[in-house]
Amino acid sequence: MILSSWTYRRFIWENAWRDLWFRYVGSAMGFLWNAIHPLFQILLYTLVFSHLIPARIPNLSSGFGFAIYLCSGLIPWMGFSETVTRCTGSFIANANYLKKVSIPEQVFVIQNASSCFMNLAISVALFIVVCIFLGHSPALSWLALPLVLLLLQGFGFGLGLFLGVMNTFFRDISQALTLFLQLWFWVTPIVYVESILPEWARSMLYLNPVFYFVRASQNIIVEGAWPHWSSFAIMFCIAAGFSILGYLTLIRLRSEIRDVL
Amino acid sequence: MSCSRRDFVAMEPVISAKDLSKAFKIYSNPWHRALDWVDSGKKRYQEFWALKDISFEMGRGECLGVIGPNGAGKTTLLKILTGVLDPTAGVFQVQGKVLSLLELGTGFNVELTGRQNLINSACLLGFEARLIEERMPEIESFAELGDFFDRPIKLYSSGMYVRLAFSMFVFMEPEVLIIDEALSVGDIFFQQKSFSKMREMISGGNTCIFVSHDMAAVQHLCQRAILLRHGAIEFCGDSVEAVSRYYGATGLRSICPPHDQAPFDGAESAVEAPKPDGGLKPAEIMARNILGNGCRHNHGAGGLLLIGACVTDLGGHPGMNVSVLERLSFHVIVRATSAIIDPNCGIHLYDRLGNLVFAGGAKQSGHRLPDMSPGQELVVVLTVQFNVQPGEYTFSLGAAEPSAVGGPNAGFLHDRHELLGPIVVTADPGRLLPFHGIAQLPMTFSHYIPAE
Repeated sequence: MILSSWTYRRFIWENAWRDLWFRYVGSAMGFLWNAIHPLFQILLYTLVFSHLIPARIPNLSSGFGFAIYLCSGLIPWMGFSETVTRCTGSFIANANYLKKVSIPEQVFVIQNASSCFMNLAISVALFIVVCIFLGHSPALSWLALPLVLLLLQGFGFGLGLFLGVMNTFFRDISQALTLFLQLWFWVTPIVYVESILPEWARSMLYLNPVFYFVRASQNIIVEGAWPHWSSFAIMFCIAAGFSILGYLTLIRLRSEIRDVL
Repeated sequence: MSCSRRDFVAMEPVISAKDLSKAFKIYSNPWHRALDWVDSGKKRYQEFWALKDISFEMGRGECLGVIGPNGAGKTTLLKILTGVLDPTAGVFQVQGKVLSLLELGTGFNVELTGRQNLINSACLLGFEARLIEERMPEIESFAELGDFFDRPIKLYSSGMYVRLAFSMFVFMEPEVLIIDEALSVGDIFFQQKSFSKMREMISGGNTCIFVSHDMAAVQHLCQRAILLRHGAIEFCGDSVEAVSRYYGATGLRSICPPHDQAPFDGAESAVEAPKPDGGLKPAEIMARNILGNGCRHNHGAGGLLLIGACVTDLGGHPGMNVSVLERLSFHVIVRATSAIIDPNCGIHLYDRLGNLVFAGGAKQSGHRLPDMSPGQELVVVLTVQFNVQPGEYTFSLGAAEPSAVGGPNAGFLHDRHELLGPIVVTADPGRLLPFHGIAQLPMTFSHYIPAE
C-alpha cells in the first residue's frame, strides 16, 4: 500500500494543499480563513472561560487556565473528528475518479488525512502563539506534541479508512458517524476534567482510545510534563492497529468497492 | 471468423483477453452483503453478467473498434482493460501503458487553469509530473486554446475541455489508447485534427481501441471490430461487416417510403444548366467575406491573392447550409500581384474525418481563366453541387498557376486558405435519400424482360 501510494505522492500533496486553498475560494481573504476560523474559536473559548464563566483548574493558577486546558484537548479532538469524517466520506466524494481511473483507493484517504493534518497544524501553531501571548510559556516537553498529534492522525486515518470502505457499501455509516462522534466527544474528558468523574467512570476511560491522545496533549500543554513512554507505546499501538485494520479491510473488499460506487 | 488476426498477432499480442467475464452482485438488502463476508456458503444475491466470455487479441499498431447498443458492455470492457474494474472471471494482459480518453477530464478541477490541470491529471494517472512539464509546449500548441490555456477551466466551453483532454492524451504517448465517444464533442476542425493525429499514432505503432456509436468513424479507423450484445461478442472481424451486422440486427435500416414519393427536388435540378449567378460586386462579396474570420491558415507563394470570398445558395442568399444534391456558389476575388499566365482557382472539400472528398478548379472543369497582369482583380464563381452524404464539411479555396515541371496535373500554388466552413449538408429524414455512401456517382438504369 505504501509503495503504490508513493507513486501518487505529488497528487496527494498538491491536492491536500488545494483542499486548504480552495475551501474558501472566491472569498476576499481566501487562504487566511484557514487561520481565522481556529483563531476565532480559540479566542472565544479563552474569553468565555476566563471572564464570563470563570472555571479553575487545579495546578494552574492563571486566570486563563481552563481555556488553555479546554483548547489543548479540543483542538486535537477537532482534528481527529475532521479526519475520521472526511476519510469516511472520501471514497464517495471521489467516486468520479474511482469509477474511471485505476488509481489506488487509499490515495484519496491519505489526501484527506494530510489536508486535515495541515489544518490541525495551523490550529495548534496559532494556539501556541495565543498561549505565549497569555503568559503561559512553553516548556521543553511541548516538543513531544507533534508526535502525539501525528499518532492521533494515524489513528484517525486508520479508522477513517476502515469506515470509508464500509461506507461505500452501507451509506448509513457516515450519518451514524456524526452522531457517534458527538457522543464520543462527551465521554472524553475535554470540556470537563477527569477528576470530576466517579470512580467507575474513570476506569472506563481507559477503554476510550482517544483518551490517551487527549490526555497526553493536555499534560504536555497544561503541565509541561513529558508523557510517559508507556503512553507513547499505547498511542503507537492504537494508531498502528487501526491502520492495519483499515488496510486489511481495503485489501479484502477492494475488488467490490468500484462495483458499487 | 477468428478474433485474432494472424498477421498482427504473429508478433506478440499487445492485448490479449481470455474469457473475460464480469458479474455485478445485486443485493436486495445491503446487509446481505455483510452476511456474505462472514458466511459465503449461501448465495444471497442476484448476478448481473455485464460481460460474458470475452476473448480477443490485438497486435501492435492495430485499431480495434468496439460497437454495440447501449448496455452491451462496452464501457465495462474498457474499465476492465484500464484496470478500474476487476474481472469476475478470465484473464487479460496488456503490454505497456494504457491510457483511456474516458479517464481524462475526470481529473480536471474547474478552479485550476488548463496548465495546472494537465499536471494534476498526469499525477492522477500515475505519470511523473516531469514528463508532462517537458511536453507542455507541444500540448499547448496542439490544443490551440490561446490565452485560455492559463485560465481556470470553469471558463471553458465543452469543446475546449475536450481539446485540452485530447491534447494531453496524445502527448502522454501511451502504448495503448482507448478512445470513446468523448471525441465527437469538439468542433469539426478539431475533430479532423484529432482523427488525423490518431491515424498518425496508429501508423506509428500505437495500439488503439475505439468505442463509438459513430459507425462511419469505426469503419474508417478500424480494420477489425467487435460487436457486443448483452455482454457477449456477437461478431468479431472485419469492421465493415461488424457495422452492417450491427445495423442489420438493430433495425435501424433506412425506412423505405411509399414508391410514389418523389426523390429529392435537387435530382431534377441537377439536369438543368447552371443559372448565371447575377455577378456579385466585389463590395458585396467583401461584406460577407468568409476569409477574414473563419480562416485559420493560409499559405502560398503570393503571386495571386485571395482577397475575399463569400458563399451563397442558389437564391443568392449567403449561407453554408445546403440540402443533399443542391448547389452552393463560391464567389472568390482573386488579385494578381505579378503577371500570371493561365491562372487557376479551385476548392478542396473535406469530410468530418478529414478525408478529401473532392477537389477541383477551373482548369479541371475545362474553363480557362484569363491571363492576369499585376494589380488586376478577377471574380471567380465556382458552383458546386453537393452530391455527398449529409454531414459537416470543411473546405479550402486556392489559386495557382501551371507548374513548370511535373506534368499537367501539377500546379504552382499562390494562395490557399484552409479550414473554411463548416458547410452543413442536410437531408430531410422523411424523404428517400437519393443515394447511400460518401458521394453519388453517375449511374444509369435500363431494364427489359428477357425474350423466351
